[in-house]
Amino acid sequence: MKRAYLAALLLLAATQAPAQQAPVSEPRDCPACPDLALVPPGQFQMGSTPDAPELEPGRGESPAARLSFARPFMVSVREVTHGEFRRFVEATGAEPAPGCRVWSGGQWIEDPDRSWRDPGFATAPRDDEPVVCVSWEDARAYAEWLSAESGKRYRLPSEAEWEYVARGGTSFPRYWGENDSREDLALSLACDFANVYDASAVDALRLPWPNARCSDRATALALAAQYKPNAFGVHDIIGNAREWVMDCFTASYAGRPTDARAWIWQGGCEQKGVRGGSFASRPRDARAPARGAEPTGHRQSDLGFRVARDF
Amino acid sequence: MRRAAATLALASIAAAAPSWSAEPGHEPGSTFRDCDDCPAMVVVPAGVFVMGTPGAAAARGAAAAEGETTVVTISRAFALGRREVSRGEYARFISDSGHEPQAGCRVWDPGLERFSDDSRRSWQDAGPGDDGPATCVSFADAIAYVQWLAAKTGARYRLPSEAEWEYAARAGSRALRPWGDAAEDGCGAANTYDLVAAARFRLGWPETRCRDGYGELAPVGQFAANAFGLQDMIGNAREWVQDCATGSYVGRPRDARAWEWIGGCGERIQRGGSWLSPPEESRSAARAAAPGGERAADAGFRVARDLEKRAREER
Repeated sequence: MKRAYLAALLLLAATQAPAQQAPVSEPRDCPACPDLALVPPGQFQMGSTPDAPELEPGRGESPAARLSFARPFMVSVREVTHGEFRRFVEATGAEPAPGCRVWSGGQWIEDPDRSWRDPGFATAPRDDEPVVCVSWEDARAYAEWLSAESGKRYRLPSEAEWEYVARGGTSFPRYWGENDSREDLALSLACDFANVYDASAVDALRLPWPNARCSDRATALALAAQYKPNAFGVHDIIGNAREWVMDCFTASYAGRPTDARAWIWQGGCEQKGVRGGSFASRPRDARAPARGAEPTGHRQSDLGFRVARDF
Repeated sequence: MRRAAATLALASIAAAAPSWSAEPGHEPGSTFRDCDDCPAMVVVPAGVFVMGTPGAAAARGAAAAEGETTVVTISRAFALGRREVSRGEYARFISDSGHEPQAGCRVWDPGLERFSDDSRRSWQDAGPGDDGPATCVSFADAIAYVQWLAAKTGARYRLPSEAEWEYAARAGSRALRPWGDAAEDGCGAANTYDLVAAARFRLGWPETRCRDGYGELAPVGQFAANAFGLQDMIGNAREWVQDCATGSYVGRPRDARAWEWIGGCGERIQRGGSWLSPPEESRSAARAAAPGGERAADAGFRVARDLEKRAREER
């Protein structure tokens, strides 16, 4: 099965990339460094056209933009895990401040006692779960530490890179091919590919929106890489934890860069992009083109990140 | 009367602004020139205003942003050109600086009844001569002008930010236009696409139902000033501002700063509409976007300038 995806990626790379090739998974850059997927250069449509089934006006998915990626880049195949992040905190002493927005008693509340060490789930965090309750600044500090450890330039993915990866070489809003969570009342495929708000999470969370019509066996966070990857070999880019990206947020794509660069304001910005949805998200928010944003210092128990680097 | 009260309120905010001192003689409302042939400047007071238009969210493109109204604080008084930079002022810059703008300008072709790029036209043959606004200028041309003016005078000349521009155009007004909501009440205050222009050029969009006396660009400063003493903010020539263009105000600065991307941007904002703009585009909050390299026969600019003394800033 894995070989099939590898073959698909190599096929993609062969048709789109220059002659130079690299294996999909190289040796790690450093002992603490994550496994990386090589993402080939190419083009894609970022955002949604007005006829997209789950487009929600005012959320910034349009106007759709044609983007070109001139160079390959690398992205971690998993969301950064609790164990990986603990290693960073132990090495640097950069302990994120306590306080996290957690799901409790049927609502999201700011709990000053919760933190990445204890995000408030029924069981204590496991090392192979994605780390959550980390701010954009925490994520950036982690990437800078990885850079120092490895000599490579780790960073958050740009929003464009993120969506390009999330599409997995397809034009679908969900890389497994589902266009619309409402379009057929049959069982959804989502649970083979992603930890979304599904039948297994309903009893635990009781969220006021529909769940995916399948069971992914997870009531909250799932261990990283338990679900099928996309054609780039990347796991959990939809669902599990939402993910910080590098970019500032505004509610339109008009005027954005048309390449892989992050879209950042001179003088900085308060709101950073958040992507992919989580185990608790509305179905429409667990789509490759769906956009969200949080203040730079925000910490929440369904919000983590993955890292990227230039190739 | 209400406008006067609003201006007073703004002035009191200016008085309460944090530790900052204007150069002597630069009290809000006063006018000055930094050299004999420099543009006449008006001191705009500090203040707070609502940028955008409530309920405009249904519009398309750059206009959609208007509905995402934003409270913007202009914490320091600044100076803004009383008028659009004139062709005569621009000509002096060209001859002094050696700046060589490319030829070519986007003009209305009456034969074809559409806009088209005319490679033979340039800033030198647009409009009513040296007293008209400088047009057929790109964003880069406008930047070159303010840099030249800054070097010549030692003062911090620049383009206004979009927020400064709208604050100055409103001049305390919350109506759609500086003079009120109705377009047809503005023929004494703005050279827009009016009955005179519509009689000369059939542009295919609605005109303002009054007569402003001009069927093309007017000499700068022919129309009544707004409550801050600024002329032609609405109409005559569209005006470049510093900001990059996007279709939303979400995330924009809430102060006087221009909103620009790291790495630059292809499109910049133009404000105020021109003599051929329909009423919808001839409003205080109306936005337009144009490629930075575009030169159009109805697009120019006005200058802005910081009031702080240089020594203070360098400290």
